[in-house]
Amino acid sequence: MAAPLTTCIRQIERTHSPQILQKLKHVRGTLTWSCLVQILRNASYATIRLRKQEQRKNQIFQYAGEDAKGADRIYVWGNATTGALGIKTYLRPKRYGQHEILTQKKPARLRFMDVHKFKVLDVACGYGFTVFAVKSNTGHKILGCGINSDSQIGFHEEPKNSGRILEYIIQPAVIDLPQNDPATLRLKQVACGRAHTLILTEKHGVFSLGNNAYGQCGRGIVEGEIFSKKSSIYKIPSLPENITKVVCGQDHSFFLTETGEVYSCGLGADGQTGLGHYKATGIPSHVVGDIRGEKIIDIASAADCVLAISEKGDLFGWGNSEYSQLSVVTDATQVHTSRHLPFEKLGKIVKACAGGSICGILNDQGQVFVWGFGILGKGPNLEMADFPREIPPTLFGRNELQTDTKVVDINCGLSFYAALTDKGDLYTWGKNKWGCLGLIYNKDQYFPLKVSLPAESKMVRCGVDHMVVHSKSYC
Amino acid sequence: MTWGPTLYRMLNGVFCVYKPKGVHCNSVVEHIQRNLARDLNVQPCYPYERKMREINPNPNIKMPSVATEPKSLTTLSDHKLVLGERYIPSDFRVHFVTKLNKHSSGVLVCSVGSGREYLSAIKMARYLRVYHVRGKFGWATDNFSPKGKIRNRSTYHHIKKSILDKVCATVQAGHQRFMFDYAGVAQDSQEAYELAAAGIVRPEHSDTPPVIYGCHVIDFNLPDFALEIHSINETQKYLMKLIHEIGLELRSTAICTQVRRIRYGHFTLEHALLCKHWTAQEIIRNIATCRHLLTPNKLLTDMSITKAEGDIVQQLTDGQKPSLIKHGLDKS
Repeated sequence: MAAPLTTCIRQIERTHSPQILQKLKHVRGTLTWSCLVQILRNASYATIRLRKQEQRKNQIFQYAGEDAKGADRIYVWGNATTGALGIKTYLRPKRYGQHEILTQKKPARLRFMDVHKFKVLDVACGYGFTVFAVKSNTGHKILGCGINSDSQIGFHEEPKNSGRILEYIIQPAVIDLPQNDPATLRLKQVACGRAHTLILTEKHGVFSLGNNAYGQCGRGIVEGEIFSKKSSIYKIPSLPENITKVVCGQDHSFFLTETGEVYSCGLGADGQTGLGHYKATGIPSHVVGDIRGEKIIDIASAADCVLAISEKGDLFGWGNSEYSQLSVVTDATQVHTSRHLPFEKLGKIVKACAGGSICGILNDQGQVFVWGFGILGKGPNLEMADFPREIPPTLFGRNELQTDTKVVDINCGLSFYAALTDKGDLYTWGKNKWGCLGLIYNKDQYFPLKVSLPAESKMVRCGVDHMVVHSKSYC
Repeated sequence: MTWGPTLYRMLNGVFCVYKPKGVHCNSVVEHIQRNLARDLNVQPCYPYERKMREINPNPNIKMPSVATEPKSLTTLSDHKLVLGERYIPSDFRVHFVTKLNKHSSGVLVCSVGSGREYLSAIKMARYLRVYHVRGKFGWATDNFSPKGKIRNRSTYHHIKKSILDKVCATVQAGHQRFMFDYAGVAQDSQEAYELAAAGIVRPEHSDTPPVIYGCHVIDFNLPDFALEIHSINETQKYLMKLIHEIGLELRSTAICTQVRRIRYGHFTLEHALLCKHWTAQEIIRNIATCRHLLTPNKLLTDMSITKAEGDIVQQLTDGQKPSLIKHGLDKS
């Protein structure tokens, strides 16, 4: 037995690593076959471990591309029952036994755009639906998802020619525009109301689809018209060429031209069309009143109160004033003619937003002012304000340790606000129904709070119970 | 020569040391205790040592001899060589507040003797702490430090200072939320709004999760970078993890190579004693200096940070970071 063992050891000494030799040195005198086998086995494990460690050290991963830049990302949250979030698995879970997600309280990434390599140009949120204007390899496209009860996101038959027309769409689907050459189509902007959609193109004017019960689609009102399961998309003819912006209120629409003129159509029951009467009209006409002669650069309306801003930074308003939105100029609850709102000490106004009962403006200093009725963002004690009150800039992250933060954009839904800062942070406050503030909990938020987003926000759009953010990853 | 018990009586109060890297806080305490015992024992400590007379050494004796002898020593059983040293290390009750872990260095506030009463007050004050944290892109280890097992290596060529700045701003803005959460008021109350509108607020007590108030890039030289972090209730492990997460956010990986606390409320590096100065004399002098930092208006901090620590904020608004590079300590 002894002779083969020593030969074996000698052979090991010739071939194996120094670690094993060191071990063998210790037990040389008392070595048995079983002991030798054990040592060799342990040694081989050790060598494998070491080899793996070395491999790990030498392997360098590259997580970012050669010329890495921030990538576009879309985040969505709020009410998922309508499919407006565009994430299919929330309503059709992938695996058996998984539950549906009906409320998304924190930002969720919409991967659909990344998977299909769509570059998002503009987003609009309506009442339970979302419309995206995207750029793909084959040209510009319009996508829509959510409630389709009034054909506001187009005609979708699945399978083809089966007569099964979808009333809810849970993942963005292409809306075909009536075009001879779809490849040359260039989209500028989209806007969504309660149940209608406006699409602004570069050369082909404005398209409208959806509910036209009050003429909000810019065509004549037909009594008793049924809008569901309709495939027609209408091109509004009576508009000038140089439209730069379209804005949808609840049941009315605005068209802003390059020269600063405002056209409107739709429901005027509260005077929200600003045409000097309370009737519904289907033909876009000039808004009358104080804005005549002013160059208007922006209009805001989410429900039935309207705010407009001129190039000089003046504020104009019309429509519903039941919650003292326009009480500075009139005691009437409905104003059918545009009025200049002479608020003092607001500076030059650059952006406005108007929800159901809330209003907000932003000036060039980055100060945010709010008024109206509801959760205004100045604590639970302030429920009603008939003149603009400033929200302290400290709530938007400007403090002693970071003195240069500034709000650059504000937006609002029916009863909640969203503000963007130049650092790319998003702040939300207001009624938190369906978790539409993205703050993880369901309670109402009485002052601006930052939404946790792992990217730099560029654009925010508020629907009635959901929100969409277009952001850019850091690298 | 000073009478030993007099010195011992003077060793009551709060002082501030610079903890070097690689030692535990408890070792620092033991080191200080040993040094204090050593320094006091060379002073006259026993009554007979107070009155000594000089003697002329006998030139005929070749053996080593002493130059002084006690004037009155009735029995030899009272002699130092019989009784032993007057002070042993455990006679000095040295404590510290808000520890630093082994791998970090910086300002450590300690107390000796009756100064311990102040430590609980300092802890309750929830001072803002300022750290200089260094990181290195391209590596990932199991404990976020360079000494851990390597888990991953990655590229970092795409990272720019502007991107790192953005991520730091996000970290800071994200923690603002926690400020109000931990301030101990209901989120939907008027009080919460008023606190939030006041600016930076302190957490309610010292057991809340960490809150980061400020995070800026102070040095960027790929693959190395350095951040200045202002925080309350953090641990050094948390800061190391933060570096790791910043690395992941930038599509790379990062390890934390250095954590230095350069400020603890009103205690700054200027007050901190270096290791070579941990002597009885210097500590007594430092206790006197630190006494100015223990006044009621500095210890009783309000909820709002800006009131009590106006000087930090002032430095930041003036555009100068409370940087202490001039001390030459950051290279260590």
